Amino acid sequence: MTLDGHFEPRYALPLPRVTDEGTVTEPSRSLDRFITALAADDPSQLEAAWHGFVAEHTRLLLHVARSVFKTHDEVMDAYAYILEQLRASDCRRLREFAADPRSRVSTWLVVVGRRLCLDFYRRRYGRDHGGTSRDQRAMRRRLQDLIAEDVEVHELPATRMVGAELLMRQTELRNALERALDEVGVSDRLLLRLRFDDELSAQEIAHLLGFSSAFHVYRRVNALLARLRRSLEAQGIESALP
Amino acid sequence: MEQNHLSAAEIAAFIDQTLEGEFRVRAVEHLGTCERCRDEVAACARLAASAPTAVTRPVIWRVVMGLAAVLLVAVVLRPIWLARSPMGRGRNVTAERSAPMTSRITTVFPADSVPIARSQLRFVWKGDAGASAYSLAITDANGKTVYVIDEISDTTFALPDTVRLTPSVVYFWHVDAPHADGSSAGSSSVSFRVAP
Repeated sequence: MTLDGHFEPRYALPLPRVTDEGTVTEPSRSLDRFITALAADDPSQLEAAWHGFVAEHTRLLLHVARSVFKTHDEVMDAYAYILEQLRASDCRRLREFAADPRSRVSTWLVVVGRRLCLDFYRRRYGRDHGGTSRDQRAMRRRLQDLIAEDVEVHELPATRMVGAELLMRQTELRNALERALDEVGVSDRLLLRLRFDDELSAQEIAHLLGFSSAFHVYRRVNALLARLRRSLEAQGIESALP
Repeated sequence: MEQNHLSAAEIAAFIDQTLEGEFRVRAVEHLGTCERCRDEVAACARLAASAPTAVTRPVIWRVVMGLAAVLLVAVVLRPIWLARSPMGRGRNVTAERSAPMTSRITTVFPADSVPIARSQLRFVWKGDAGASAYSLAITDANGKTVYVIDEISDTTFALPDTVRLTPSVVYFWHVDAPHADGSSAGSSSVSFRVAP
């Protein structure tokens, strides 16, 4: 990394090779070719295979980099860093993936590329990327509210609890909710976490957890919320309001 | 306590649903308690779903034009084909109607993005042959459930006055009908707005 913070790769970066029509010119089995070239230990063959692999996945990697960085320079630096790291240690990551491919290469590249981008962000700015901080996510946490029945404004208590009393009530509520969540199965707990902690859409959850449609997710979530309400009531919690 | 977080390969496989057996069980257990990994799964699943493909606009455009041409030819030739085919002559409409119904539910009202008065908000759909009851769900643009009701025996439902919908905001509704054999029929998701 240079003094002005720009990342300089140790080798010539293969630029995205895109035709006039925007079609990426790459072999369809570029990863296989690259791994084969690695095994052959022929430098010229290896570089050609590497260029093919990069050309095939450049748009994907730029897409990942843009999810973490905003400016063009940052995105291109992160892109260069991803490529550098993929070639590091004699392409250890790619070799390991090719030896035991458990997913599509594009999905794997999304995960690895994002991890490398976050790592690059930490190196450059000396702190974690703010977009996924737990504090932010905690603020969005709405499960407690959703378990509560709708409450009219005029039903709010006239006197507001303050300070320690309010904190104690919130803690009590959170603990009761955690106990109730412990009673549901691991799959259902994950479903609720993804829906309310991570705010994934029902469609996204259906894809991740293998539900046949988003509607089946809604049905399951509603059944679980009803169950949690009953569990909270059994613990003496009638309202989510502190 | 130090946790064994999911590897990149495990997270990718979880997203692609190719993680099987005890590996998937372990992943589900871990994700249920580990915010960090769950956060990563959520972010990467969204990225993977929105990732660009190598197929570019000109290619897609050519495919669309090709399909449109095929459709046009089919529409033009259909009357000729019907007239010549045995099915075309003296068609038995009754027999056609008694054929097994599709498992798709068709929404009737409200239609796409038509603003309607709140007092007239009554959902209507065409029934499904294998269904004894329906479920109706209303979601907002973020996919958040606004209202769900199960066990509707009719193919129409008036939204209770207690359900508050914000005027001019776009909502989506769809109907689902579970069958006795475990399969289900569903409608597409249709948008609607309540008039101000």
